[in-house]
Amino acid sequence: MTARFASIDLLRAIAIISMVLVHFTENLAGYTPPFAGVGAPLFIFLSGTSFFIWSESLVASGRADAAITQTSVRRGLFIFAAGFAFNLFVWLPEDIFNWDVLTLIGSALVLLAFMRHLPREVLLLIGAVLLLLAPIMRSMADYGQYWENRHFECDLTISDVLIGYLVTGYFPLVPWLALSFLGYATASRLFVQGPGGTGGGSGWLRLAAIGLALVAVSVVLLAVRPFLAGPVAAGLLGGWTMFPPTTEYMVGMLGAAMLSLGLAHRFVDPLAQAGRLPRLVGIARTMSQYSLTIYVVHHVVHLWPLWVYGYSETGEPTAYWMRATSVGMSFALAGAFLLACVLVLRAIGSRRPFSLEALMRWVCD
Amino acid sequence: MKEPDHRAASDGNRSAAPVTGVEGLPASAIVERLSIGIGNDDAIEILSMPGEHLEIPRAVDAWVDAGAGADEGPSFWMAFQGCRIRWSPSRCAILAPADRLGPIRGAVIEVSGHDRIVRQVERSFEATWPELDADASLAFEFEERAVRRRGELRDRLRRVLHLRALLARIAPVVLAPPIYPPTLASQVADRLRERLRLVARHDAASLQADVFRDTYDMCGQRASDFMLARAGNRLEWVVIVLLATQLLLWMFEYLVMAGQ
Repeated sequence: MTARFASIDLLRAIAIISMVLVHFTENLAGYTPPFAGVGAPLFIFLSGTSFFIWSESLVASGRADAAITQTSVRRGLFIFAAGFAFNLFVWLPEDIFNWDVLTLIGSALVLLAFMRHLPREVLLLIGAVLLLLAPIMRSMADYGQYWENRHFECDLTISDVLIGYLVTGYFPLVPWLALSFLGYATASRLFVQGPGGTGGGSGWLRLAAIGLALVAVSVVLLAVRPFLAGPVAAGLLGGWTMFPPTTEYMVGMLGAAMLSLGLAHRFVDPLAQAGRLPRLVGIARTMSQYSLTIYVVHHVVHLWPLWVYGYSETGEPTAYWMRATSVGMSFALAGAFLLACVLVLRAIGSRRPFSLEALMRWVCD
Repeated sequence: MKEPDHRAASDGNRSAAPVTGVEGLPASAIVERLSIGIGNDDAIEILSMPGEHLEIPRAVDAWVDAGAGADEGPSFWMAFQGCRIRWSPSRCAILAPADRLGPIRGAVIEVSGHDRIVRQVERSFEATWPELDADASLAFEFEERAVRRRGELRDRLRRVLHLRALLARIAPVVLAPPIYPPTLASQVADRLRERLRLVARHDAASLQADVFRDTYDMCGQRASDFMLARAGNRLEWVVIVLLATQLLLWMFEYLVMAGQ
């Protein structure tokens, strides 16, 4: 059985809540909340972290290495395929290749299945290279050409689809894979007990310090960017934007994820182990365990009615997209969805028969 | 793993003046606490009772047994040329003519010191067999997961070598043949060693030490080889990542050109 850390559950719950609020308000009211761009990076970072803990638990239970790799690849492919199905049925067929977060996480899991034996330093190097390559590759691909009205559009040609997968989509491999890889590398340092590991020691402090330093670097880059030459300011940097994921944004969000994980591991995990905060820990655990399901269902719940109503009223499914209701109402609907989610999922309990996670285990494990 | 002090007890040092008398024994019977050179607290209490003793006072038995630890085993009597010795690992009573007390006391201290070393080595190894079993696989093959245990393995090898060195240091005395011509002290020491099966225990402990040393020596060798290979491997990976980066950029450039 996989060991659970309340810190990871809590952060993943925060990430999913943030994404639900942002998606409801953006898609229903066209409003982007100030915390937009926080949830997805944290979610991707934690996917790497959880993969490490999950694979280590299998190693500890005596599973053969090849079997772990096979299961990992199957899980990765499942999530990748789920991402396509999600694009197809939720964002409708013309957006099937928009490269959402599920296809990214699926790809990351497949790659991590083969890269998990690499030394931690090599993973860090790959993460750093991905972050550095991203602006260069965006420049090569002419990123702006793929984005119209702040949304990714590509021709259905092999080159455009691959370029979207690699660099220009919503969540392309470059640079987003870096977060997953670095999440894995972070967990391999933080959640290892015993001599040499820092699980029980000051590992959280080092992680939090590194996270804080990265946040500081991001702030400094944002501050000095106006004073830098054009190619650097507009090419290598780019300000605080999620689309495209600029260097400052990625470094800042990576730092924030590391900082929050370090602090949560230090302050939340001991409380959870001592049986404190049972309600909060229980809710966070429920949302974390069902995070994939919540991610898919919250889109279905608010987009399908939108498409159906738009189609029935105007013949165009996206007619009311981003202008269906007010900001306040969209927040209220998001809150109601989250509340219903928690109540329903807690009522289902540990049986979990009707979830994407259960389906993944049934297919892959 | 318990680690005895490295100072072997060859002579024993008097660490204090006579402590007390013993209730029920004549005033001439004195107790001394004498260092046997193992550690600061490692000493043996010796009750010296001068004179000819046809009957052994029961108070002597009681005194010796009262000091025996639970895991030390039973004490025993030994008689030799009019001298009587009641010995236990932590207390010893010597009943002998006054002029023979000194040499006998020296012999008792020497053998007690050696016994204490062998006993501690035996206990150390006995407690660490499970560790050895757990570490044995690393003597064949080292792996990434074990890298964080290198410090632990290094400490274990160091301790085993330390214990092995202790046994080696007392070997010339413990394993030496009886001296000729024999003296009272040498004969008492030989008899005491015989009663304590010190030679056989020393051999057995040495054998065990060899097993531990061989295992951790191999672990160290495997770990060293692994770390050297790992350092080279990392360098290779850096080169591979850089080459892959270049390849990725080249392919991407081609992809972009194909798209245009």
